[in-house]
Amino acid sequence: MVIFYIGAGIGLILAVAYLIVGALSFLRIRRELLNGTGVDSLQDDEADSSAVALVPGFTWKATFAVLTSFVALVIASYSGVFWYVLALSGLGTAAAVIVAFVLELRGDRAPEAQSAI
Amino acid sequence: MASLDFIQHSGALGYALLLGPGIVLLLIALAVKGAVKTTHNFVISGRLLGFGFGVASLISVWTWSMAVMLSSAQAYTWGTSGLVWFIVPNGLAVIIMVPFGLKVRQKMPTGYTLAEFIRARFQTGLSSAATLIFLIGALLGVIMINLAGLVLVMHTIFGLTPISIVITGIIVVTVYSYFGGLTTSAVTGTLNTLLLGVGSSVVVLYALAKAGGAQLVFEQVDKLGDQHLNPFNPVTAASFGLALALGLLTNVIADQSFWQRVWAIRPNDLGRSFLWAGVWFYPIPLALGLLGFIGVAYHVTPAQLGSLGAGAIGPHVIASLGLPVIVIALYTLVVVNACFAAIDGALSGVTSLVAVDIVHRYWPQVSERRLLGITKTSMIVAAAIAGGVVLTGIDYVNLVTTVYFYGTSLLIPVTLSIFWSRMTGTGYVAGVIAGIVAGGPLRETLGPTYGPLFGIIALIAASALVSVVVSLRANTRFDFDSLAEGKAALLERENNAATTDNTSEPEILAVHDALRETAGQQ
Repeated sequence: MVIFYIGAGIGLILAVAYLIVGALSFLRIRRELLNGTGVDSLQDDEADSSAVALVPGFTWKATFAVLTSFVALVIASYSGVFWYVLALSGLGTAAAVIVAFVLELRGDRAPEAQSAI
Repeated sequence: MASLDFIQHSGALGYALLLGPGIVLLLIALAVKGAVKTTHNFVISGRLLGFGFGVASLISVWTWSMAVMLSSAQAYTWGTSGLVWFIVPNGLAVIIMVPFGLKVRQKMPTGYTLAEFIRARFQTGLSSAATLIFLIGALLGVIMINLAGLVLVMHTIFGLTPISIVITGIIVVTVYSYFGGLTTSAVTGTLNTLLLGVGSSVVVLYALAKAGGAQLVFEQVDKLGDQHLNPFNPVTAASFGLALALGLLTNVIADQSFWQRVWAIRPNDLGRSFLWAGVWFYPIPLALGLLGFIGVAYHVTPAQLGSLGAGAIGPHVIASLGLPVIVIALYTLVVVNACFAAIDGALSGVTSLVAVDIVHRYWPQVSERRLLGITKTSMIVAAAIAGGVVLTGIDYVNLVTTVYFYGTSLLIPVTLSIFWSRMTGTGYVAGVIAGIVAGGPLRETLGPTYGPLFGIIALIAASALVSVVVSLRANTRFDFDSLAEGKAALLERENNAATTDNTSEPEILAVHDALRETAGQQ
């Protein structure tokens, strides 16, 4: 039950952080929708294809992710204790989304700061 | 381990868990509504979705309610080999969209739908019409399958009747989806991903603790001495693994919910959003699969699961372990929200197809206000059709798997359309038809074990061969850069119709107006 309480505690903290950064991103989208400052309008009705960012190291990242999920299931076939890692991994999904929101918000602030200068 | 005693929980709690999330999501939708005043923003969210909403909404769109329960079912039926074949290709399918999405968005930055891309790519009505039919069929299939998942959990745990579950569920989703379109779908999907991640971990950790700990459950499963802890069981691959893996790849490629996000996510966030979504999808079924092992350890028999089969093992374990009501409610919320997010994603996908590929294409003179009204109304129509099919009592699960099987005929032609400049519209259509003709009879005649596997292999092989041969004979090359010359269809309308009124909320009456207009032309 100790692991449950640890997981629930971390989950609660993650949930609060998740909702805060999600709300900030939502407010940004809502503001830009109201102001009509979407990608299309910024580019004079023409989205810029050069802005489509490639993913550096996509092949090895994708391969690593797929292999990791496979290896995790192989290890889970031989170790019961490892099942706790699988159970706790769901928290990793929430943490990853929080990181994605933070990176997004930081990326949005950078140009604003530059334009302020 | 002692056997589990199933405990049926209160129906009132079941309805509260169905309606409660609906009310919260409706409030969110109403917050979005004021900002979404044009069809363009309704169907593509102003192309403003960032990295966070991109990752979270993609995970939720891909994590169907059935997937939540099927991961437990695969562990219960096949053990870790079932999880390998169910989970590994699932995440890979989303990751594989990265090169597809990036290429299409680079070449056609102002698009909205896959059917629109196919039309621009080949300039023929037949190829885009075939694509449109499959896309709509697949979206209706998503709604039906997720309603089935909702029935599975609410009927098993709370004893609600399937009819009341379907009617309540479809009304709740349609009401909140009506406001805000894709933006609402992205926000509700993001909330759902929070529930899927944190909720599934918390529920599974409590269930493991209640069952005596992970090590004890593992030992009980190991003691059975069967194949449950053999990740390389070859029977699993032959029985469903290979066919499922191929089918999953097609599900993403032929799902407008994903293509809609390809054009809705900000360009610099697109690739990494799909990559992260595929990577961070994995933990959810990995965690939930453990519920199936708890069922195995407690010797739950298929007979105990009743007519709903192995899919009910997750809800059965949750209802039988003697867990606190709050944990049972949390598990139910995970499934209910997975269902709602997948359905509102599908309804949002339908709106983009209706707006861009039907109304704007065939009735371009329809005013912006009416277009938005029709677009919104299409959600109600799609929900009514899918809910109606489910309520007729026909074997809709078979219907959906059939649609997905034949939808696989799009896989190779769509891939070649994106990456091969010599692909032609004739080759596209011929490839789709050849796939159906070659794979269909094998699927129907070889039986349920080998029919789907050999059918899908034949279908893919035939569509690839015919697409390539027919296209090579034409000996033409397509200039992908020409796709970038087009303007965003729905923005072009707005610019042309400078006189468009600024009324924010169109009435459903707009549909009748549009129909009257059309009738007048005829």
